[in-house]
Formats: sequence, C-alpha cells, structure tokens
Amino acid sequence: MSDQREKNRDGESAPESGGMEANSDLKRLKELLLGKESRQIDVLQEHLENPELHASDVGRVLHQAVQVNQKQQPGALADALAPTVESSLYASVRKNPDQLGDALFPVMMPAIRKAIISIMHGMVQSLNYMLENSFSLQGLRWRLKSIQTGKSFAEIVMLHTLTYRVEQVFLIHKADGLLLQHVSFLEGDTENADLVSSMLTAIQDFVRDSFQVESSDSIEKLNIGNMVVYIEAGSKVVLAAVVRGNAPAEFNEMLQQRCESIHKHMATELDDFDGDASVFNTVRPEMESCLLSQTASPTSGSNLKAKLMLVALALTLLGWSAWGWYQNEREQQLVRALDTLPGFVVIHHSHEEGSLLVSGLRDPLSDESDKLLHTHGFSKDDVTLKWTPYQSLETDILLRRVKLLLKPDAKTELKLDDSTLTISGVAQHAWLDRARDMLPALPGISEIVTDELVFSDSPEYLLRLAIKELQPPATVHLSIADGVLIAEGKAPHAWLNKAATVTDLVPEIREYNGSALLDMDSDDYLLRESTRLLNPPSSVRLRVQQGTLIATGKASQQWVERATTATDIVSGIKAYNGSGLVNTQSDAYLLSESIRLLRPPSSVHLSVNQALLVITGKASSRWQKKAGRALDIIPGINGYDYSNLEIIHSDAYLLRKSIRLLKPPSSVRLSVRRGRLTAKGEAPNKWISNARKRAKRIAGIIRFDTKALIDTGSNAYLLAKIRRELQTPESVILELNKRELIISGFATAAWIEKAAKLILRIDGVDTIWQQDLVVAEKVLASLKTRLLNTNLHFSAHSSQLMDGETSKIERLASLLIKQSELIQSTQGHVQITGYSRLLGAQAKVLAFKRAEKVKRELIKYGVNYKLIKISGYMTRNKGWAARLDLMWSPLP
Amino acid sequence: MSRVLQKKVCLLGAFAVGKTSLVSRFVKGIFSDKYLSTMGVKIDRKSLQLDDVSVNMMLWDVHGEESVKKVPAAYMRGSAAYLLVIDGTRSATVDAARELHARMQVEVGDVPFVVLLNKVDLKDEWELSDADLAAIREEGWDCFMTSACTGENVEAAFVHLAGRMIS
Repeated sequence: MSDQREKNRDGESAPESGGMEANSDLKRLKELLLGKESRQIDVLQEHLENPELHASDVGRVLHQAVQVNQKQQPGALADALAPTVESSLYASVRKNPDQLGDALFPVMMPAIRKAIISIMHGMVQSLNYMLENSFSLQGLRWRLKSIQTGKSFAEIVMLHTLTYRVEQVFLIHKADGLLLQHVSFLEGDTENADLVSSMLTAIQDFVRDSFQVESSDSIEKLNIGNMVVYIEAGSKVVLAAVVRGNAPAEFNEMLQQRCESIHKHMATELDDFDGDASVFNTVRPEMESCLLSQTASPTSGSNLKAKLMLVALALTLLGWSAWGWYQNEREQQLVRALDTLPGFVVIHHSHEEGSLLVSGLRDPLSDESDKLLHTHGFSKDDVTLKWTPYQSLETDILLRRVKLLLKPDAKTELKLDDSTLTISGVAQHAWLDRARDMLPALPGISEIVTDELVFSDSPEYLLRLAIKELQPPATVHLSIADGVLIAEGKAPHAWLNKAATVTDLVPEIREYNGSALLDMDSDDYLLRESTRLLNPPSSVRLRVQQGTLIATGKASQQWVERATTATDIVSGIKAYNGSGLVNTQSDAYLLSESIRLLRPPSSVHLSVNQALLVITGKASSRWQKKAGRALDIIPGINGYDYSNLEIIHSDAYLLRKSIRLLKPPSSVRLSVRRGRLTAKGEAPNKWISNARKRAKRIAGIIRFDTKALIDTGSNAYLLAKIRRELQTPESVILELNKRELIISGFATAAWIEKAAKLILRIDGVDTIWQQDLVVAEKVLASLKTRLLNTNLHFSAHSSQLMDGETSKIERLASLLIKQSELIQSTQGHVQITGYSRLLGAQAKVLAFKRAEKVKRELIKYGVNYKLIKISGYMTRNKGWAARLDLMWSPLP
Repeated sequence: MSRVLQKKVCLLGAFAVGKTSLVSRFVKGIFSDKYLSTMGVKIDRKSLQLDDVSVNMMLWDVHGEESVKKVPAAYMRGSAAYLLVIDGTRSATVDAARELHARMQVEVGDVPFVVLLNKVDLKDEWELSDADLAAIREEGWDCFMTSACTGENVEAAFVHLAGRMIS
C-alpha cells in the first residue's frame, strides 16, 4: 500500500513540475499539517472501496453486529435471512441430499423418535379404551390384576402380550449389502448371515424399485409368522434384528439408538470400508446388548396369597351358610318324621338355648322316639321333647292296644281295617269268646270278622296240622278220634319214626296210634315183597339184610338177570347182591361142573364158551374117553371140542418102546421122564446118530437128550481114556489129532517109559509124538543134588537145629518154592529123613521129630506142605541128623 | 492371520445368457439344463483363498436385462466388481453387455470386471463371428470363453476377477 501511495505521489508530481509552484507549496503545507490524517483517510478509503478488505472488516464484526441487531430488533435479521437460507438449503438438497441428510441425521433421529413415541402413546390409549369394552375371561383376569397392582389396564395387557426374544442382530453395510457384523442368540444361526444380509438389502432394493417409493424409504419391519425382522436403516449402515414374539416399543427405540451410536463411533471405518468386516468387531457388545428376551411373567406370590385368602374366605362363608341351611333342613325333617310317627302329634317346635324344643301328644303305646332321633343324626341332648300322653285312634296304635288286651296266640292274626277287626289264623274257641266279650269296650272297633279263623281245638284242624307236619305217603291213611291220631297202611321206616313224634310236633294231638302200620323198610317186609315180585325158583334162596337183597343158589340166566333189577322192581330194596347166585347156564358154572365131574389132569385145560366145552393140552387116552361122556353127565353142555387135545403116553410105556426101537448097547442106559428120553453112558458114534433119528419117530417122545452120552469114537473120548489109563500127571499135555498122539509137558522118566508101552495098545492111536516132553528128573536134577548135599545138624538128643541151619533151610525153601509147581505136577515130593544116634524106641521118635522140625521150618518159609514127606531112621551117620531128597512116587 | 474381505459382485447380462447357471456351476459345481428365469436377484456366496486373503464373493445374480425390464441401479450400487455375461449363440447379447457396462461405469465407476462368452459348448449354434470377438477384445476387456454346462473356464474367470479385486 505504501508503494502505491509512493507511486501516486510520483505520478502526481511528474506532470506539474514547472507551473504550479504554489500548489506544490500548499500541498507541502498540507503535507506538513495534515499528512498523517490524510494517509489515514486514504487507508479508510481503501478499506471502503476494496471489497476484499471490506468483507474482511465486516466479517470481523459480523457476529457482534448480529448480536447487537438481535438485541435491538429481535427477529429482523432472521426475517431478512429466511428467504436466502431457504433458497440456499433447497439448492443444497437438490444438489446432494445425502450431505444434508448426514448432517441432520444426529439431530433428526431423536426428534423423529420422540414423535413416534408420542404416536405410540396415543395408540396405547386407544387400545386401552378398546380393551376396556372387552369382557373376555382373559380380559377380566387382566382387569383384576390391574386393580391389584394399580397399573393401568393397557399396561397389563402389554405385559402379557409382549413376550419376545431377539434372536439375531445384523449390522449391514448399506451401500453394498455386505455383512459387517452379526450376533445371534442361538449358536447355529451364523452360517448364512452374510447371505441373509445381502438378501435383506436386495429385498429393500427390490421393494423400492418395484413400488417407486422415495429412495430414503425402506422396509422397517418384516413379519414372518411369529417372527418380526426389525430393520433400522441409518445413512451408512442398516441394523436388522430378528425377533420372535412381540418386542416392546422400547426395543425399536433401542435399535435406533444403537444404529445412531454405530454411525457416530464408526464413521471413519464406514467411509473406508473395503470389504474387511473385522474392524467392526468393536461394535459387537453393543449389538449383543440388543439380544433381549422376555418371557410371560407369572403371577406374583403375593397375588397368589391374596387370591388364596379370598377363596378361603368365600369358602368359609359358603360353608357357614350351607351348614346353617343344612341344620335347619335336618330339624325340619326330624319334626316332620316325628309328626308322622304313629302315636305322635307334634304341636309346636322352636329353638331354645341352641337346642330344638318339640312338644305335643304321645300315645304310651307308641314306639320310642330315640331311634328316629338317631337316624336323623340327633342325640337326646340336641333335642328337648315334651309329650303329653293321649290315646291315639291310629290303626297301628289301636291294633297294639287290641293285642295288649287279647294277648293272641302267635298263630292268630289280627288285622284292623278302619274299624273292622279281622281275626284270622288259628285260635281256640275259648279265646274267641273272650275276645268277643272284651272288644266292644274298645273305642274305634265296631265289627269283628272271624270268617278265616280256624279253631285249634277242632279235629279237622288237628288232622290238617298232622298232615302238614308229617306229610304222610300215599300208602298211609291218617284219622283223628278223640284227639288221638291213628295211622294205618304202610310207610317207610323214617316216616314211622317221624310219625311217632307227632305229639311233639303238634301239641294239640294228645296221642298217636301207629300199631296198624307196616314198616316198609323192615327186612321181613322187603323179603316178602321180593319173593312175591321176583318169584324165585326153588333152587334160589332169598334173604334181606338191612335193605340189601341177597340171592344164593342156582338159577337160570333169565332169572339171574331179572334179579339184578330187584332195586327197581321192589321198592325199599336199596341194593342187590347176586354174588352167591350161580347161573346154571353160564359158562363159568358149566366149566366148574365140567372140572368137578371130569377131573382133568393138570396138563389139560378146560374152557367153556357159549356152552361148548373146549379141551386143550395133553391127556392120556383113558382120560380122553372119560371126557367124551361129558355131554351126558353135564347138563347144559351143548358140545365139546377135542381138536387141540394131545393124547400122551406114560413114561414107562415110552421107555419100553424106546428100548425096543433104539436097541442101545450095554454101555448105554436109557430113561424117560415126562416124554423126555435121556441116554447116558458110552456109545459108538454110529449108534448115537441112528438113535437120534429113531427117537424122533417114537410118538410121545418130545426130546432125545444125548448130552450125557459119550461118543466112543471121538478124540475127547480117546484122550480121556488114554489119560485115565496112563494115569497121566497134570504136567503132561495130551493132544490127539487124526490118530496121532502128541505128548508134551513134564513127566518123570518112569512115567514116560510106562506110557510108551501102554499107548500103542490103545485103539485109535497109530503114532506117538513126544519130542516136547521134558523129563522132570533132568530139570530138577540140580535141585535134587542141592537137597542131597544139604545135611542138617541138630543139638544132641534134641530136635533143636544147630545155629545157622535155619538159614540153609530158608535158602532151600526159596528154591523149592520156585520149582514147586513142576514138582507137584509131576507128582514128585521132597523126602525129609530124620536120623538119631539114640538106641531103642526113643531113637525113631527123635528122628521123626527132627524130620518134622525141618518140614515145619520149610512150611514156615512158604513151601507147600503137600510137597513134603517125612520119615525117621535110627541109623546114625556122621555129624548130620536130617537129610533131604527129591523123589517121585513109583507108578502103580 | 489372513484377511477376510467381503465383496459384492454383480452378474449382469441379457436374459437367458446363463448367469444363474454360471453361479450354480461356480458355487455348487452343478449344472441343470432347465431354464428358470431369475426374478429380482438371487444371492450366493463363494469363498476364495488368494494367497493370504480370503475373498467372500457375494454373488448378486441379477435378473436378465430386457428392454422392458432394466436392471435397477440399486442392485448395481456398491459392487466391488462385476461379470458381463454374453451368450455366444446370440450376438444381440453383446449389445446388452455393452449397455450394462456403460451403466455400471455411471453407477459404480471404474471397478474390475470380466466378460464371459458363455455357452462355448454349443459350437454348432455359435453366432459370434471372429470380427465380433476382435471388437470386444479391442476394448481391452478381459474375456473368458466359458461353459456353465461343462464348467470350462468358469472357475478361472471368477478367480481372475477376485484377483483383480484385491490387487
């Protein structure tokens, strides 16, 4: 600016440098005097004329000027500005509505919210009014609750209806529908949240596009069955909540607040969103706080108590009044019942000191009233009864009075109908006469009817009584004469007994006479009847024993059969016994007769079948001839059958016949016993086979037994014969094979020698083989030597062995035991010879004793006593006193 | 930790070019020769892992563009990428693609996109001439010859687009 001023100064001075000296002086003066002020004016001028400087100056004081203006002229500036601001806002919205929307959003939302709340309140009021007019049970219940709690009815309705749960909350990026964040009440709902989010946005777009609404308009709520999706759209994000049930109005408000809050806090992140939603994790807690839920609140305890008390009170009241009514009704019933009781007249009843007082008239003959009180549930303490006696003419009481007076019998029946007394049943003449005298004196009875009365002292009555009591059978006739019951005819025993007690059964009957009655159960009567009806033949004897008919003797089939039905034919017969009766035509009878008369032998069996005598078994021809006469001697037998009878002969006869036919050799003995032929002894084979054939042909010989017969031609026979003849010892084995005799085993040399000579003389043996025959002496030679070499020493003059001698004996014993079997089987033995030095008879005794001592010792050591033979000698030989030897007895 | 990015991707094209079939092939790996016209929009999700970035593609399968029923701009807004689908057996669908591309330029600006020349399996009915193809390529568009029926190039096209989105 100073440069400018300088310029100006230079510019001014340059054109007038010569002619205007004065002016320049003046100017200089002015400069000197007013230079500072002039410069200030210039500056001001500059400020006023330069718009930039001027705007800057105004801007400095504008707010103060506005304030001053507002104070001085309130509203003037606003009025002046209004058109300008309006037009500028209009232009701005037209240009970019979002910008202003964004700017106004924080301001607008609370305002809108307030407006909505106000509208909702109005709605609630109208709802209240509407519900006030509803009288459903539910409505009444809620109304009662409203009274109890002091809340408005509408509030209660809300409380009950607004039960809900917020299940999911979605935070959606508005521009592209991408899911920024999702929280869920349930675990599994998160999977498709991004799809849901996009789809919600698409639906919004679709709806907007389809219905041509404003771009700021959007779906706020989706109702799907019980589910509601609340959609709160902000400028950059959309908050959507899935609610099951009815959320309260506050929830919507809360959703709005959350939406605003997210806008505020996440403004930068929202603007910079590139698809990475992780930055929005920070808003999760805020979203989770939206996951509200509320269940229908149950009735509080205090209300329950109050309700219970009310109910109890009501029940008490109801019970009390019911009880009062019940008591009154009970008393009324009692009074009515008393009044209707015969002989009672209730005149007055009232309450006195809490108990019932009943007064009136009572006939002394009436029943006691206690029972009635009891049946009506009263005790004597509850009711006070005051009766004045009177005579009742009521039928019941009157009848009682009559009975009291007349004392009728139990069989006499009295009936009162109006004033007519009907007497029926049974009574005595005397009683009726008395009644007729007394009754007219009683008031209320004008007439007596006795048409149906039966007199107990008349004979007809007695007879009727007797018949009724005894119920006699048709065979009995009863009659009454002078009070005596006479029975005639016949009757079972039981009835007779009963009839005898008739005076007890019917006391009016003085006596009973049953002498003319027959006892149908007596045995005599029954026998008579049986004989009469069955008409038995003379061979039959009948008896009756205690009702049982017994028939004995013989009778024809026809009569026997008829007799079995005796219990039907003769009444009174309880049983029939025909076991003692013989049916002369029965097979059993005929058989017994046949056996008695024919006396068959034990081998014969007789049977009778329909009168045909069948004879089976075996019998002699003589008996057979006798049996042939059976037809003549046994009456009733129609024929006989011998076809199966075998005729047999006597053993003696058969033996004679057998000997004649078989011609046995002298070595054979025959015998016959019960048809069995037995042959014993020895016979050639040829005779045996012939005899077998012939024996079969002898009639009467059942079997031919040849077991005991020895075939003289057989090997066994020959061997037995050889063994016997050779006196073969057990140790020798003989075998005969095709006339060759093989001799093996052990034998003494003597026997072998003898056998060789004898055998060749026996028939049937051609050759002898004795290679395997061992000579016993050879085998036992060493034993024999040993024995011979053993000299046993005894103490002098005694049979005591010297020391050490027993051990010798023991050794010998063991050797002998080993060979004992061989020795025995070859008929050998140990010969012990005792010796003595003594003289005379004593010597032989001592010698024998010594031998015996040795024998005992050997036996002691186990040698069979049979092997040992002893002997004694007097001869004295050197030092020993006993010798042993093995010897064989000589062959006979 | 890898990043997870969500992206809105629009499938655009004339009606019956095979947009829904392409999505079905890409997302579920199945193909059905039944034609069901899409009403409004159908949204599917496909996650792709590209290096350390997991891309959640929210595929907006928008109804086919017809002269009487234009694709609403609201569906287009917010798209991070888009696919233009052309039916190779109908050359008229190229024009529709061009028009939709122009509208997308207006609504969402310069975002990645690919062009799918679909129904490449129907060789006998193929209508697009080499000149047409050359013209398309001349515009500098990323083109893929695809078949929703055989699955040819479908995955490749989507993966390529995802790659461009995160680069």
